[in-house]
Amino acid sequence: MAHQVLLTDELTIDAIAPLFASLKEALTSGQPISIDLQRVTRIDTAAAQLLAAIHREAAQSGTPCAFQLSTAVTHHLQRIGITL
Amino acid sequence: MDLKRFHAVFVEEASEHIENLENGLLQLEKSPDDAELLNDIFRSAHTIKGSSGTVGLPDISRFTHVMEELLDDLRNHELTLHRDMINTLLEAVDTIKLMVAAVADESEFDFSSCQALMERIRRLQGKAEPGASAGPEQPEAPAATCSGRLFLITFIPSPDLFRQGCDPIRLFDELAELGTIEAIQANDDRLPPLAALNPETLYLSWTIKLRSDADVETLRSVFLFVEDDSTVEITPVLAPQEQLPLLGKLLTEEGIVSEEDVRQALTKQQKLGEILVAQGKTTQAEISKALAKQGVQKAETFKKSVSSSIRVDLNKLDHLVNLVGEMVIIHSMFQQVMTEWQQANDNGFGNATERTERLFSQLQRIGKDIQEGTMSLRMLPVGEVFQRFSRLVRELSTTKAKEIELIISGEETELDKGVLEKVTDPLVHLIRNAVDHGIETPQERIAAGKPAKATVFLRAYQLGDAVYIEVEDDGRGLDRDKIIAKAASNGIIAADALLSDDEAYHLIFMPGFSTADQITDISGRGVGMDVVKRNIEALKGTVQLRTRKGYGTTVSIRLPLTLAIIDGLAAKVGSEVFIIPIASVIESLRPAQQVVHTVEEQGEVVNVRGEYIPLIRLCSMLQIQGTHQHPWNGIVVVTHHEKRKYGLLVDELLGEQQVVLKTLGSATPKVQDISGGTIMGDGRVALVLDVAGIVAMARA
Repeated sequence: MAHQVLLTDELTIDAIAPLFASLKEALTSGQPISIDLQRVTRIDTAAAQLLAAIHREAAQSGTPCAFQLSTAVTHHLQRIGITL
Repeated sequence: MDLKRFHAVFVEEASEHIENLENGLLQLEKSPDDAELLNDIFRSAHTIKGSSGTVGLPDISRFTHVMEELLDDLRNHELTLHRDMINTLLEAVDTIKLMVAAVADESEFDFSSCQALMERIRRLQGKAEPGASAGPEQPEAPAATCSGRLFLITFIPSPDLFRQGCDPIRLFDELAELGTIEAIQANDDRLPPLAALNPETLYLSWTIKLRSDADVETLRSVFLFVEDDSTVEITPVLAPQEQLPLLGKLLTEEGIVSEEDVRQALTKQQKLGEILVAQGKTTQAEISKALAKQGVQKAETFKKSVSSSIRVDLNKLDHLVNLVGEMVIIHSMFQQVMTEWQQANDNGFGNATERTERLFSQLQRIGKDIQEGTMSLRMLPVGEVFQRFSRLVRELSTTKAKEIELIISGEETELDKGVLEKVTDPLVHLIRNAVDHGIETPQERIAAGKPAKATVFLRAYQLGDAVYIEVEDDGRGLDRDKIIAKAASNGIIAADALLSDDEAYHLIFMPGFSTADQITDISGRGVGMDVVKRNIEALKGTVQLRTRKGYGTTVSIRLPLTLAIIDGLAAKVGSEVFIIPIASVIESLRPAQQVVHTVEEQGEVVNVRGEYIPLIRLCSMLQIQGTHQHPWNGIVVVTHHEKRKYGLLVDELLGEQQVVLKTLGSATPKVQDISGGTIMGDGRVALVLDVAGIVAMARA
């Protein structure tokens, strides 16, 4: 059973704390992680950096980590050169 | 970090883009299918949005965003452009103008007043929901070009960038506008484990491959606001045929060194501070202190000088900087030769003489180039001012219910910045006059057999030492009888005065004169043409008027180039030396006795190859005792003024030279025939003749 993280609406630095908390929780759950961003309408680089961090750390520890992205997120990640 | 100190820079940049938006929208109305134009407009809006956000002005950013979305839909053909849309967008541009103006004078702007307009823009877009406002996510501007040089950009931002309210994506978007981002890679080397991470700290850094036509400085300016605490390295990836700097090019052309040598030398180039430290003349600490001071001074002067600053074509400036660099090198070469001269007593002069001569001639050439380059910095294309008139005419024609097209030509003609600023108001008057008085209503035009749509031409061109700006309309022309009647009733002329057409038409330049039957808010209050004339004359210019009843009116403004340095012909009259501006000189000759004639009512003329040219004796004009009594003993300098030739009789020609034109000072009353004074090589003062003034005096 994978650990589900459902993120919606705006992921920006103004509300970074809950996002940070839920990603940390996912990582410490020890289960495969699935992060659903399909309903995210807007993301900024601060939030994108957290996604990059969990992606890297999950890969290092061998935890499967899957992302489902909305177009807004894909687009932002492309423009700042982050691949998940 | 106090973002306020960037506001002055922002205001300057935004003003440029606002102008671009305004002109672009007016253009777009005429050619709605121009995709490139629409892109350009979009980019301006996008830049205003981006940079206002970066410098902490979220209101402007939010407002521009709404506008940008509408433009984007237009660009993607989701919407079709119509007049109402242009009107709303122009209104939006005006609102941005107000917001930027409020930033400039540090006053408050009531953002709630924009809500209605923002709502209208959204409605045009087919979106009425107010919630969807604040998302900066925008599709990329399509990659404009694939040309240009390749740059490798390393950007290690300050960890505090997020806390300063800046998202690096804005910088990348700005870069994307300067060229094509071929690759971008975020590096996560500095990213700590999630548990140890502070989500408000920026750990990422970037390497970007950008292909762009811009130079390193322009690219660097993108990082201007974040540069203080970040590391930005921009390295052009050198193509084999990369252009060498001027001196290097010269040296290689003359086969003194190879291209490879120059390139190697360039990589060794040090900054001034490093050189001084290396030579033990100062310490690194002192240099850092001075640099910090320089930074503060820069920010201070920016604040003060926004209104009096000038935007200079970067190419002009680069050229000048190159030249100054060359001069410095020649300076040091000179020093070396001087040392050789000092040692010459022991072992002969060697080739020091020859080298001195060569260096001197190089120095002369550079000096001349620097002089020309410096002068050109003050010159601006008149298009900067002309473009504003499109909007003026558009609005006037709407309020007056007349159909008018403004056709602009010669925008690239350059004029001194000071003159250009002062000529704007007179031009506004002239254009308003043309629209209000000159152009008839569409009904009248059709009745007169003319097309309903009227045309106003605004053109500029350079001829000789003057720039001409003309406002021409194809309206009803001036009514001679009406003007005379009006002037008589105003007591400007006697009721029975006999006037030539020209004299009659020039009555409109008299103070307090207006023939408009109806005073409107546009013109007709009788202040206008006299102010125009006075303003132009204050610039040492003249105003001419041509009109034909039923066919239209042309007002032509002639402005001197007003360069402080002119090429002049030094001529002797009696014991005095005068300078005749070379731009008005055609030729000079010593006339034979039989070609000088006296014609009744015209005075003396001289026959030059079959053409009779009026002869003006400078000695009698200037009331000086001349050396020669007869023209055939002196020299005739043939000059031109307003397409006619005049021969100025002088005693002797001293040759051509460049002179620095100085005004005679406010203590001297304005003299019609003298445009200024100069100091000659031998220290004597010479007066510079104003050919137009002399001709006018001779005719009187």
